Amino acid sequence: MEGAAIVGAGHTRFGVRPEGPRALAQEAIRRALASVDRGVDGRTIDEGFLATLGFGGWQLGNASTVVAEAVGATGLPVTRIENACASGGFAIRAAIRAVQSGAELVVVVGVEKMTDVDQARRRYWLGVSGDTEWERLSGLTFAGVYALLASRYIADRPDAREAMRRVAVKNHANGALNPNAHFQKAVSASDVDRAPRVAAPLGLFDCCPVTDGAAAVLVTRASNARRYTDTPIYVSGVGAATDRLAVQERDEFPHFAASRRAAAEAFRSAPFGPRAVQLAELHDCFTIAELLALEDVGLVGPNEAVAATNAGRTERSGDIPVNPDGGLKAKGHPIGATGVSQVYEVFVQLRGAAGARQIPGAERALAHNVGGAGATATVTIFERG
Amino acid sequence: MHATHWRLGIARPRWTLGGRAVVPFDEDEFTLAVRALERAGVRTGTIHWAGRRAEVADDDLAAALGGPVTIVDHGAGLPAVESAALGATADAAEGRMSAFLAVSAPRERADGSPAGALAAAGGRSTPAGPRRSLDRSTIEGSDEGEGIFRAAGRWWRSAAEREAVEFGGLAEDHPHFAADAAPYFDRWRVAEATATRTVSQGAYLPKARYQDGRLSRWRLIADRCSRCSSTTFPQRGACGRCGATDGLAAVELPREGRVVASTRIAPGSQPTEFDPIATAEGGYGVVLVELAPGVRATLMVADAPTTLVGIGARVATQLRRLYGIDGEWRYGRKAVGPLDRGPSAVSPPPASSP
Ligand SMILES: [Zn+2]
Repeated sequence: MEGAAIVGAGHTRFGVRPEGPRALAQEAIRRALASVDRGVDGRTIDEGFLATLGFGGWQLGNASTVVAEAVGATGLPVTRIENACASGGFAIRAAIRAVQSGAELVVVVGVEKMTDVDQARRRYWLGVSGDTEWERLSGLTFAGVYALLASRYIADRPDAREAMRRVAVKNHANGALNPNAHFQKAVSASDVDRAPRVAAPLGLFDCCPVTDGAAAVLVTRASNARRYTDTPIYVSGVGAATDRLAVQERDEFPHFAASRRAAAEAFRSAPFGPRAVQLAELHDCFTIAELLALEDVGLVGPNEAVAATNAGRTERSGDIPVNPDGGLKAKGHPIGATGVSQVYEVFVQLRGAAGARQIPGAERALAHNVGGAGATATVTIFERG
Repeated sequence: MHATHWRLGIARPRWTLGGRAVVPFDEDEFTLAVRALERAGVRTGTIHWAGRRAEVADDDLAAALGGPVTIVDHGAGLPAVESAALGATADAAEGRMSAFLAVSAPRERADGSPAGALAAAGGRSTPAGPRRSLDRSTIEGSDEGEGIFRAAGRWWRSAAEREAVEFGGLAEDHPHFAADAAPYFDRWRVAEATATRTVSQGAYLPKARYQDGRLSRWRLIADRCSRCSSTTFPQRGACGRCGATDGLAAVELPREGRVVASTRIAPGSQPTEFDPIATAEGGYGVVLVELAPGVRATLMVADAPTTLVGIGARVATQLRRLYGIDGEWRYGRKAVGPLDRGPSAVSPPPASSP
């Protein structure tokens, strides 16, 4: 089957932004078009995907028209994809499928505007993607659901608290080197420990922030990629899966079977296995999620995430650097943008253009995007050509 | 003379104020009535109701107990107790399943009536259930003051002395659950005054879907698959393991279980429907309880200020108010306890102060 390649990627600064979602999406698309080495006319794009939850309800219907307007191609077919926090990953997957079906150049935009919504509505929009009938009615938002997962994980692994603390410290240190990150400030282990609890055992520094931002990438057929650049980033495999919506019904609790299935599918077509991955973007909406993901996508073996993290293997200097851009934890998690932002990071890292946070010599990377508390997940694998 | 067998069930909130039982934010006439009737083994038949009935509908009580019931409302006050008791004994004497129920859930400090409910289920074929010899002092001795609950206890005691009835058993809350309501009583009442006017932001469930879910949320009903014998909870119309859509039998899950995951939600981290209880009680716990092997339910922890349940603890479940919405209360089971702290209890750290 025809392969796919990434030939351009753009990213806005993540954080508290004065602009609305339309302007953020436009900025990301403009930057993605400008990043194409040999140049590209936006009007040659023949398919588009928009990933957004529509946080705050800004444009729940027909939001995809924003993308067509932004690329100056009135009439462009654009599909909006909503799978909660995994919307971006599923949109990337849809773009890969589109070029496999004959599309020439596909734009994927992820955007979310979250900070202009008042506190009560924010808690509503942060909760809509979980199970309502049991999880919400027992008084949980997402932090509470992940706290339940963390409590179980910690009970079975005494050193897990130390590993969660290290995830927070590491990702903030990485974010400090990323000019697009929401938080560009390192934190200490004692900052993490002293932070107020949100949902025990999770404290404030175990949780990702509420963030505005957008990211965009351009996907084309592998055989056409060099028309746009000498250094395309090729897609080696993509996988996606779902699980039961409510955590209480999951067979593999506290693990995410959706992540495991998505990774298995992605690696089936890749010419290398998970242990050959040199850089991973893992969905760390809470510190516990990075530990679960390390095991679920197979970067480490079962029950090895705590030891790997506590040994520093996931730091930028380690053998499996995870979230060199700061992750959701420090870079921020504008819901629909996150999965696209992960691919942006893979694109700049594998092309050696990541600046101060560059992982030297990285050629094979993985991006892992989760919706809700593991109800949906995608894994995409990339390599430099 | 034919002696009717009666089984008693008593429900008392765990909270006391000045030695008198009081209702917390999440208890009312409905939750107390359901608990007393469950303990008396009542599932169906006529219920002679003495005491304020609030907005409890026949349909709600039937959904909570698991069978068709008819409520005969005898009104409030002391004469209602005798009227309801006479109604129940007359039904039972004719061989009909019948229950007497006295409920009191006063929400004012000035009211001397203690909160609680007493149910007596009677008939020639008294349903089976837990049996314990009647301790009359439990009924009368615990209930000081003038109130419907005390009157009910006194009436049954005198009935027993006349040997018109024989008591089959008594079930009530674990006595060690008692807790002092003083720091919370006024905060509960403030919360209650606004609770049903809450704007739903996060846990909204349309009323029809809420009512559809009552079987699983109130009575913990699951589906047992005859093909692969796995249990699916809540009911989904198909086996969660093998996908079979026929051969599914509704089963009631145990109402006690072991905590397998536990968190404590700090005030401000709750869906807004839970603002009143989070504010009044300084946050709350939520636990994942294994009710049967591989079958779990996510439950809020009731009576949060005095309750810390960690992984490994064994808990019971009780019907409580979840939250108020659209001018009504929504109910569901919460975890209560712990009954024991388990072999390898791990307690979560307390939430930071609000
Ligand atoms: Zn089956």
